[in-house]
Formats: sequence, C-alpha cells, structure tokens
Amino acid sequence: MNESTGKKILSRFTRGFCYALAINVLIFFIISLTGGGVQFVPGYAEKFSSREAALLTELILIGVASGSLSAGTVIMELERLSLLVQSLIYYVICAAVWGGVGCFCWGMSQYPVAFVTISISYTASYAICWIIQYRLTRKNVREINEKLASMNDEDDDR
Amino acid sequence: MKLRLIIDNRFPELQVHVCNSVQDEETKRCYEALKSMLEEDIVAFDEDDERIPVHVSDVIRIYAANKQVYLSTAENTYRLRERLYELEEILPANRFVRISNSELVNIKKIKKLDTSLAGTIHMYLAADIDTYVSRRNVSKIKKALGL
Repeated sequence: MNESTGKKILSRFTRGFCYALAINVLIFFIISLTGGGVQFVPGYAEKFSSREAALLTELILIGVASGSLSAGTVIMELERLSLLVQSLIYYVICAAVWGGVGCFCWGMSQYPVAFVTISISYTASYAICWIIQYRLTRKNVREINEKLASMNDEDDDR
Repeated sequence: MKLRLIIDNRFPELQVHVCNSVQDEETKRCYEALKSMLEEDIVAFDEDDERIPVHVSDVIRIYAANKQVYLSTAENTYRLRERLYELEEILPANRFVRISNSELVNIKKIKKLDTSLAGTIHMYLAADIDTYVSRRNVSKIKKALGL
C-alpha cells in the first residue's frame, strides 16, 4: 500500500464517519422532537451504565461502520484486481462490519429469521449490482470494439 | 488537389495550410496526415543511454514500471525521462489515451478489447503487445474514440 492509498483510506474513513454521525444525530434529534425517544433492542441498553452511553456507543459504531465502508471503496480502485475479486473483498468487508454492528447494537443474532432475511436480501442486491456492473463493462467493451473495427476498416480502405 | 510552395518573407516561420470549401474526407485525411508528419518526436533513451528520437505515430504504449517510464514501439522498448502525467499533457490528446494509472496507449495501435468472466478488461495492441485496462478509464477510451 503506497502513501497516497493510505491517505485516501484515512480521508474516506473520516468523511464516511462524519457524514454517518451527522445524519444519525439529525435522525435521533428529529425522533426526540416528535416525542418518540430513542428506542433500543432488548438487552442492548443493559450493557451500559446509562441510555446516553448506549446511544453514544451506537452512534460511534454506526460511524465506524460507515467509515469502513467508505474507506473500503479504495479496493474498487486497485487496478491489479479484477472486478470479481474487488467486489468479493468489498462484500466481505461490508458483511463483516455491518454484521458486527447489527449483532451488537440491534441484536440481529437473537433473531435468526431477521438475520437470514437481511443477509439474503443484502447478498441478492449486491449480486444484482455486480451483474449490472459486469454487463455494463461488457457493453462498453463491445461498443469500443465496434468502433475500433470501423476505424481499422477505414484505414484499410485508404 | 493543388499543391503550392510559396517562399515569401511575409511568413516568418513555416506554415502549412489545408484549404477547401467543404470539410470532406479527403481534406480531413490530408490534414491528419500533415499533422501527424509535423508532430515532434519524443526523445527516448536506449539501454546505453543514447538519445533515440521516436516519432509519435510509432509509439504503441508508454507505461510506468519499477519507478521508470518506458515507451514501446513495434521494434523496441526505450526509457523516458519524463513522468507519465507530464507526457499525458505533452502528447496529442486525440492520439493517446490513459488506460490505467500506469499506462498511456496510442489509440491507432489498439486492436481490440476483451473482458474475462472475472471482469478484467484485456487490451490487445499492435506488435502482439497486450495489457490491462482499468474499468474507470473505459469512459476515457470511449470519449477518445468519439463514442
């Protein structure tokens, strides 16, 4: 990893963390304005001495997860890796980070059906995105080849 | 087609004009041929560090490897002293396109592209040279080809 990649990772992590934190603080603020109050899944708040500490931890973890996802996009720019390898690594990072946060903050592991449903829908949507990206690449390559063939024909005619 | 040679002190430097009432294929071809002929050579260096002028139209690709910049023609590979981004600015934009962080190719030397099942884009160039294209440069290639 060279210096510029390291800087990119740090910069993207920081931005992802800050944006996620700001958005979530805003959401919690709107919820509190409506009088709803912030709700936690059973068992989560009990891990902390106060509800404020639980909320702060959740916010930081959401920030860390978003920052990690943001920093992970650097993988998609590593030219020596194929699209498939890039996507697989990014998928594993996303699944590990959000899975971890989901299990700790939202008790995903306590609800197997929800866990499986979320995992399947996430994997399916990720696979669809990958197929779209792959087909788009193939389409672009086909268009370029057609243009190159027509250019070569023109050169042959001269 | 008429060809005239004018020697007159009204022209302080060599000028070449291609004139016609319409921009047809012949005019375009003539202009492109002259333009290519008048393009400056790139100064490259062989393994003995000897200066070798290489005409822009002979260049197949320019790439960075092991902290050096190299230029490939059909016959040989030479070393360059400029950095890749400097060359990108100097070289005619309608002739060269960046295909990855470490490589520029001569558009006229591209044979075809191919995609593997894993999504890697392979580029085949003249003189049986092949290389890889980064996905984010595909749009640059399309633009350079007028797509």
